[in-house]
Amino acid sequence: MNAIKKPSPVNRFKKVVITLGAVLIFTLLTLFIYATVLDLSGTYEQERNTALVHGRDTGKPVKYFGVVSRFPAHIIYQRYQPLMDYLNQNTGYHFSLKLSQTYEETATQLAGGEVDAAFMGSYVYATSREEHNLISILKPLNQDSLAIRRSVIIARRDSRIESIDDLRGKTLALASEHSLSGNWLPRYMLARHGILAADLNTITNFPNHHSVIHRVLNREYDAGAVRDQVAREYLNRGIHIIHSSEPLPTSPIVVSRDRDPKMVSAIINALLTIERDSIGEYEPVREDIGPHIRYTLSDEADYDFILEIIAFINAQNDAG
Amino acid sequence: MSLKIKILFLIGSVITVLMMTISVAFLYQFRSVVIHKEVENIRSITDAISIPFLDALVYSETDGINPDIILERHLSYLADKIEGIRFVHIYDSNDRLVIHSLFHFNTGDYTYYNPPPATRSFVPGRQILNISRQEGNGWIIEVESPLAIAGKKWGTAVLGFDGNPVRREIISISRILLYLGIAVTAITLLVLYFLINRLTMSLGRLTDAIDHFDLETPQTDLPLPESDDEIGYLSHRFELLQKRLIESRNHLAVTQRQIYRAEKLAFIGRLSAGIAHEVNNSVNGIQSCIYAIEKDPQNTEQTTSYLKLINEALKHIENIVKKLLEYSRKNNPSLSEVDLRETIQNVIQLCSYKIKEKKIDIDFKAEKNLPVINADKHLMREVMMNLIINSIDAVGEEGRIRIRSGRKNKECIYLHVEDNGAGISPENQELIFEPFFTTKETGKGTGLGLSAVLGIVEAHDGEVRAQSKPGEKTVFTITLPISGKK
Repeated sequence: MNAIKKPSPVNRFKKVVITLGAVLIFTLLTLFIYATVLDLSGTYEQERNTALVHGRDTGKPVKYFGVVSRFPAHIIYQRYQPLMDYLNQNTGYHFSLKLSQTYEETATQLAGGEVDAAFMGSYVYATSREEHNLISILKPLNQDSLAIRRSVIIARRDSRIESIDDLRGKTLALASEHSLSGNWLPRYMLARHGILAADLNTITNFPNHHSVIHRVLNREYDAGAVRDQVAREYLNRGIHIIHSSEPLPTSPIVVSRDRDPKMVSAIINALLTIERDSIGEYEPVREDIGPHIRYTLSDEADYDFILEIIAFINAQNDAG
Repeated sequence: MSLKIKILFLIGSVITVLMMTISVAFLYQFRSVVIHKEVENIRSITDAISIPFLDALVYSETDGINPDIILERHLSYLADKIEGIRFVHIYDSNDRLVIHSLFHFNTGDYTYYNPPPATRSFVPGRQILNISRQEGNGWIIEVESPLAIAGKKWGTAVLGFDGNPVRREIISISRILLYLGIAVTAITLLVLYFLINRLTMSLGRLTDAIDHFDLETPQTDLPLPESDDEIGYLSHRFELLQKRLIESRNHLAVTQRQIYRAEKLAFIGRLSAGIAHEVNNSVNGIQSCIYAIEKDPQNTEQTTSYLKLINEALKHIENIVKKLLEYSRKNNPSLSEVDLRETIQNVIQLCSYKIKEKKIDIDFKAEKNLPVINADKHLMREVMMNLIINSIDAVGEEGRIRIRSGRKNKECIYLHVEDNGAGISPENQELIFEPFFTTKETGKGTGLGLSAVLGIVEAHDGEVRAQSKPGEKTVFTITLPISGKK
């Protein structure tokens, strides 16, 4: 049997050195990786859909846009601030929102010059325009490019309420007493069907349309009346519409008749051309504009019928 | 380095590197996921926390009230409810510090606080989250979140969160991966070790079988590894080789026996022919003499003469028988101390008549260190006599014989007998040690001298070799052990 060749001392030394070198490299590499993994240092940036503050430092005259704050302030700003940004970019003015608690307060602010324009409710506008010398200049278009909306009566899907006639003896939730679509028009529709307040178990007004829907969904009330746009948000969440009103004009943008006509023109021109002008650098903000995506001119006579409705209901109540 | 160690080392290295690579890749991926998750979590918390701050700043702007009270109440709420938050700084829209938390949040070991700078510059429109190590406080995740909606900005919230739990989570998974890697590598090496052990054990068994394989006493029941792999195949091939070798050996043995038998028969034939020839010549002579005596018995002179011839013929036959007896006795030498120098000189002395007759130049030299050897004295003299007479017969008138003797090594001595006679032809060199082979004229040699030399030397465990250049010289070399038979 051949003898196995024994390694020379030099080869053995070389092997030992190579092995030790490999172990050393392995150890250093492990320590390096460990140190790297545990070093959390780093910066993570995220772009927020917020632009620079426009106009404040550009010398533009500051104008205030009144809006009723029925929700927390940041929600109101999320809804209306993009439109202010658009106006700031497309007019010679810097518009800033001014919150108020009620439409009456906004009307007063318009009359007193605290605000220069305002998003106004139809009912308050119709009832206070003479007193505060107000005029509607624009009204928003809906998804079908029509400046109309409807008042709807809703009930839960699992209820047996299928039509307006089923509401006798039931409890009914309405929106603010100063809301056309959430209070006056529903009352008008019920009256037209021969149902007066006395024919219902209960009628209660709540601060906003969303509260009405929540009360119905929570089974606190059998039915409710809201703006159609709000109702559509909840159609797949357990409610259905049992009755819709005739078309109503959408809520107007209102200014005082005494306001600067240049500013009014600037607002009108900018909002009438919002679609054309929104193409381009304004595009990112436009996504947040929501229902106020486009506007059309408002006619003074659009809101005259409201006074007739009020008169009809009051007459019915007086008769009842 | 054994095959086992080499395979273990090589595969062990590969597995270790592979496991390390996988672990590192997994670790980095896990680290990335953990950090990403924490970043998203902190962003969500920051966004949620920022809303009340934002509302407070909006109302303060709308209603002209001081937001500090609302902000401070909110900070207190955060301190109670949000785990892991370390500090909150609120800056206004002009990047001036409005309020900051001067108290420790949630943890007693946080040594905050260097007051934040009164003014800072922020990148507009971006929420920036920065993870860094702060002296004495460990890892802090700081978020700069703009308090803004669309194009309107009320300020910036800077929030600090404890980053150490994230790091602890990564350390934890690092350790788990390390232990897992070591365990998997160790288990793999262990399994590998057993597999290699099994493999090398099979090889070892095969090697043992090869080592123990002996053609003289073949063992067919040696335990060979049986498996359906390459080792099993190798075993099977070895088994077949073993069988073929045994068969060849048996075949060779049969052939050898046949050759031996044939040689023996040939030898007996040659021996018989030699004896018959030698004896026959003498018997023929005796018969001729007896015939002549019988024919003329009264012729006393003739009878006397022929009786003398008969006597010589009988002596010749006796001589032949004597040589044959010596040849047959060769395996039983009687050992005693023999001085070769003296033996050779005696033989030369005995042959001096013939030497002088042919005027031969004989030269004998023995080395000083030639030792006394253990051998049969009579047989040694017979060997020397045969070799010297053979040389005397080979050389012509005034021929030359050189005899040299000395110590070959510690164990043996040598003896050269060289003559410048006719030499031996190559075809006869193989036959000269056979009995009755002779190139001499009939009646001058028996052909038993050199065969007797060979027999005697071999009986002493020695060797005899003949080298010859025909027409030039012949050298006989004998090697003998000093201590007798080996």
